[in-house]
Amino acid sequence: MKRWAKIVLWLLPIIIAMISFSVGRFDVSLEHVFKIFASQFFDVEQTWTEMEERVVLNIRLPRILLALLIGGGLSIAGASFQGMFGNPLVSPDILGVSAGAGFGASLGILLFGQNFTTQVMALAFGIVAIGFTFLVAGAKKNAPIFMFVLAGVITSALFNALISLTKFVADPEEKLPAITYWLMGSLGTATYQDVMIAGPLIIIGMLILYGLRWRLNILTLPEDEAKSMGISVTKLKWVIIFAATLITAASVAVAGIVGWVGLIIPHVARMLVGNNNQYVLPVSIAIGSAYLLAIDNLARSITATEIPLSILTAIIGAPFFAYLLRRSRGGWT
Amino acid sequence: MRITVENANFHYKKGRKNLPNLYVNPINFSLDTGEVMAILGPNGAGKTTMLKCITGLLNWTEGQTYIDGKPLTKINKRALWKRIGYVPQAHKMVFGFSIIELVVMGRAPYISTLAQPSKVDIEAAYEALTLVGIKHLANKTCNEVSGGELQLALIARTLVSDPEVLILDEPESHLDIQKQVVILQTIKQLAKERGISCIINTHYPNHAFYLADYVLMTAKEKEVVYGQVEAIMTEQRMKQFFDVDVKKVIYEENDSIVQTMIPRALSK
Repeated sequence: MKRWAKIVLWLLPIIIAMISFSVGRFDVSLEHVFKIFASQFFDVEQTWTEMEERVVLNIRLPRILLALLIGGGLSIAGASFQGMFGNPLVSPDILGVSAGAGFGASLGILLFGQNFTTQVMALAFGIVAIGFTFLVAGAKKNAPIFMFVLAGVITSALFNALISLTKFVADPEEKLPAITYWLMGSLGTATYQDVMIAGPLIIIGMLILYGLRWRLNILTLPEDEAKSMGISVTKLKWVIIFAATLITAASVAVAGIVGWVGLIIPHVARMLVGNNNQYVLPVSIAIGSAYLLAIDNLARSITATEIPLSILTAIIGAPFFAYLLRRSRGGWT
Repeated sequence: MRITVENANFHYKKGRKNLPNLYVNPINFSLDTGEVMAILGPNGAGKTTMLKCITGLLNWTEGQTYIDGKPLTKINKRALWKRIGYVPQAHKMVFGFSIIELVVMGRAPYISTLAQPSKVDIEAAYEALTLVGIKHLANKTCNEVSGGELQLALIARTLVSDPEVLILDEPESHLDIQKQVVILQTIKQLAKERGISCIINTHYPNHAFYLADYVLMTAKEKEVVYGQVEAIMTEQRMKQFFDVDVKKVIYEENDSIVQTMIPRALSK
């Protein structure tokens, strides 16, 4: 990849982020956005209103940060899983994390309403779901990878049933819409508290995966072959699953279930830079964060009410995936 | 380096039950620096399983592999895989890495977990590609090159860690005859010029004649025999192990004695 292409790639999320501050119902000019930020560090003559400052700093900034973190996080988690499972059709929720975290959040909303406890429950059940998947797969040393995939399908089915159960018993006036809306994913209520909860977990997960990016190339090989490179395949897989779970569960905890990003973005990255995960992983972060931020801008600006994220990611993602499928005729490389 | 297998056997498990031993009698052999052993047997004889057990990818259920007298299970994995190279059969890759990216992976035992390959590692990979004669393919993807070229790349991938033993699982099967010759010559050259011991699985008696100093022959529900090529590879054994009548032909070519086997059924 050319140097300028790399620079463009990393400028993309930054530029979209800058534009994002002035996008939305409440009009703030780009000039005011820059001045508001500058005034945090220097003396700048105040030409903007207090209202504008509050919107930019307290509403849009945490939202933009979360969109970048979650978009980049889900994409690197997806790319890592696709490599680890040696299958380009895998997404970060393949092992049932999203369903588990979704159930945790639904139950939380049902019992306590939408608050901190709900987020903790989402995180906790995301991890419980992974534990359950391992239990079903028979997490012996050498459980073959398809056992994990099937166990993930079972776990997802079970937790989706439990989600339906919470919806079934929820008060249809108030709780049911809250749960339903939440399950479709949204950054509409993003706060600094959300950034503080999810941010560190997502960043830790990203750093781990980023550090292992070359090792991940070896993990795409059949297991015996990978072992013959002298690496501890099982340990490495555990670490990758741990990191990806951290990212996915933290994302679901603050933004609900955001589909498609973790599946599609790694494909785009591979189209741009080939299959070497040394490049696929960082490029996935760059594109994924820019993509989810752009989607979120659409979500909050095309209609008077916010559109849930998963609706948009699917409406854009599904046709694009269909295009990829046709183009590659099932051969992904 | 000397690789020895003593009184080894293996059985699979079904649930908690032990299945019967895969080999009728325990396996014993010993291989010194630069020597080549061919494991010869029909399909289903457990040849691939044997290779995996020899290298510790599977654990022998009885007996043990020794490297210079030290039990293999006592050797640190990373250190072990610097000394042993495992060459699987060429197969289609899900992700089409370039040949050079594939070969660099062999440097993994020298690269710490969170690190990336350095210039030295990449140079080693180019050197290995040069050695097997496919440096010009470095930037092609694995799925663009032919089966034989990919097999050579897989051999190169083991060479980058400077191994003392190569374990090759039917490296020449599924290849056309010219590619087979290239692979066999490459292996022989590595053994003779670099002193790399080789253990190679093969279906072809003639390849054992060409390459091997020792032959280990086995077949399903038949004993395991081991010894020097001439002693093991007889017409009776081929009948017994492969259920095929062959004629052993010995002739002179370029001042050396060449042996070959021809199925009698095809000599009409």
